Amino acid sequence: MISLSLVMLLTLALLTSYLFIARGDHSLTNYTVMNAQARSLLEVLGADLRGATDVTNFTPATLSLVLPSAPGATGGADVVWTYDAAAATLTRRAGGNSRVYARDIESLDFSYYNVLNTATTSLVEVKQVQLNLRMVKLVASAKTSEYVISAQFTMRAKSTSN
Amino acid sequence: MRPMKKNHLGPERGSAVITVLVLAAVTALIASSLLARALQESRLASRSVFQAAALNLAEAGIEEGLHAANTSRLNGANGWSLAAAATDDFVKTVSGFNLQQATGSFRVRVDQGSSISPTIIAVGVIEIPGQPRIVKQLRVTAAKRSLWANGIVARDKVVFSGNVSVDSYNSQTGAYDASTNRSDQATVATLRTQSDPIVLNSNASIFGYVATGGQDPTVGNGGRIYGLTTPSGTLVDPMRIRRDFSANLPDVVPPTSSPYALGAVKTALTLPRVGDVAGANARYLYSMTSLQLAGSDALTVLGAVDVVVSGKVTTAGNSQLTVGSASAPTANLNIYVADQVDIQGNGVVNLTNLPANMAIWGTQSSSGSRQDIKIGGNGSYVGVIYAPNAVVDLTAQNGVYGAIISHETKVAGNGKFHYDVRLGSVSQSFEVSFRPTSWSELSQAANSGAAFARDGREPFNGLF
Repeated sequence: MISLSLVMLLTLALLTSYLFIARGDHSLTNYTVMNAQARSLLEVLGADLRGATDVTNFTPATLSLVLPSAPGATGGADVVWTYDAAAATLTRRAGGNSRVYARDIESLDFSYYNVLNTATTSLVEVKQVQLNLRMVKLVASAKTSEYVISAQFTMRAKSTSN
Repeated sequence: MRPMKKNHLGPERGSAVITVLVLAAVTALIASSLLARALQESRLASRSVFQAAALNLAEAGIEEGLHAANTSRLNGANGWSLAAAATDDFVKTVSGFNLQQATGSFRVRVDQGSSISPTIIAVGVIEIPGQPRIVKQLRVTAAKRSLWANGIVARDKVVFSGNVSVDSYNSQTGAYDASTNRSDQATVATLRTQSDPIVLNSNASIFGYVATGGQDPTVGNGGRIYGLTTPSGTLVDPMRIRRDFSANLPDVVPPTSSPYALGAVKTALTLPRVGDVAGANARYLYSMTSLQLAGSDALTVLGAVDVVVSGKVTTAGNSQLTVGSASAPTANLNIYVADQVDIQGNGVVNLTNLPANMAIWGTQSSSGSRQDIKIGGNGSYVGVIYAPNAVVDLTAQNGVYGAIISHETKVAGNGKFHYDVRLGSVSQSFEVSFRPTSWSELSQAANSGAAFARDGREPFNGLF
């Protein structure tokens, strides 16, 4: 009887622990997923920005770039990065193809700077782009969040001055 | 003999141990799963860091290639060697970067290294023990920076007053024509970072761009900054204004080889003179203590002529500097002068109609007092002026065609300035720096035929 009680108490303790472990595991899974999204997003966005020959439009939520069709080419395909606040996603659209690179985005904004590292709103002088975003996932009632502040990516191929 | 004690637990014996062992096994399984995931996450984060490091190394390789091309150091003394079976393609490898958990290196190839448009390909390599290597490859094409890539450039203010207008044309197409040979590519730029960097008074207009060192231009009533795509009714198009201009405007040094000394020139003269011999650069070099023409005197240039003037350069009345003729359409003149320049009267008559064939080089040093260069009179000036330490005053009645670099530029009256976009491809001997014209990351499989396929040539053999 005593040992049975001990086993029950132990089982209860273990079950409680499992709940915490499961929740932690879920949190860890969320972080892993968000980290992977952030890494992939920054890798692709960084490559796009470094190779972009021009910026055709930009807002805090949208960035339209011209990527060369071949090394040395000045013209090429338009690539548009769009943050959809309702869907909480960041999408890259190139040609007719769209791909979501990050989900569960609570807030996002692109910041733009000229070659003198001064914030700019001018298409002709924008030279650097920085991304700030916050992803949030829920575990029961608790939030797990990932805050991403990218480097200021310099658009190497975009000429702003002669 | 004592009888054996009966075990009342019977078949339940050991069940608690088994339960604990099972629970412990499950716990261990979960814990190991968490650890494995954490390890994987750590490894991915580590590779992500090294991916960035590989890109940094590749960019270091690009910098190494550009620096060598800029400074003529594509030679063995600086670690470069000719690529196999190549005559102007160079390779270099730099290794031994200790990144604690990995080692890094970069390899660079410069194709057509001695040309005016080299291509630099570099790869950054990260070797991590027990893991696949990380490589990033970049390809950059470069071109000489052009001194004349903009219309008017000044260290300080540029002031337009009156009904001055600025636009552009292409001398390769022919002479300027407001209907058939006119464009919106002239840039008026200044390095000035304080207020009023560029001032457009009254009805001055710029059909092109404005670039400053940080401040907005000052535009008076009726002043315009616009282009072909500017919406109708917009006087100042914000899409035509940049506040991030920077440029390097070095002092210019006149030729120092042995010139023919002409003393003070005040009468008609034709250069090169019969019997004079051109230098090793196929140009005729003369020195003058002054060049001051009046009346109907003319200095006529019918060849490739450089003139170094230690005193003033002035023209007045009907006097003029004539460059070229029907029989000498490629004649060109460089005047190097540190003193005052005052071109009035008929001024400079450039019969070649190419601004690249007439140049005034202001040689006053940046540590000296300001030089004055005035281009006025009843003619036009078809040529360029490079005088980063001079105040340039443009009032020529029939306009200025070419490009101007000065400390400060003033354009007044009904002056018209027409930038020749063809000058953007003219390089000067004292220009040494390259600028990237394209920047691409090569990330697709080598020899795949894809547009961004990796380059597997020497020294990148075996990496892909």
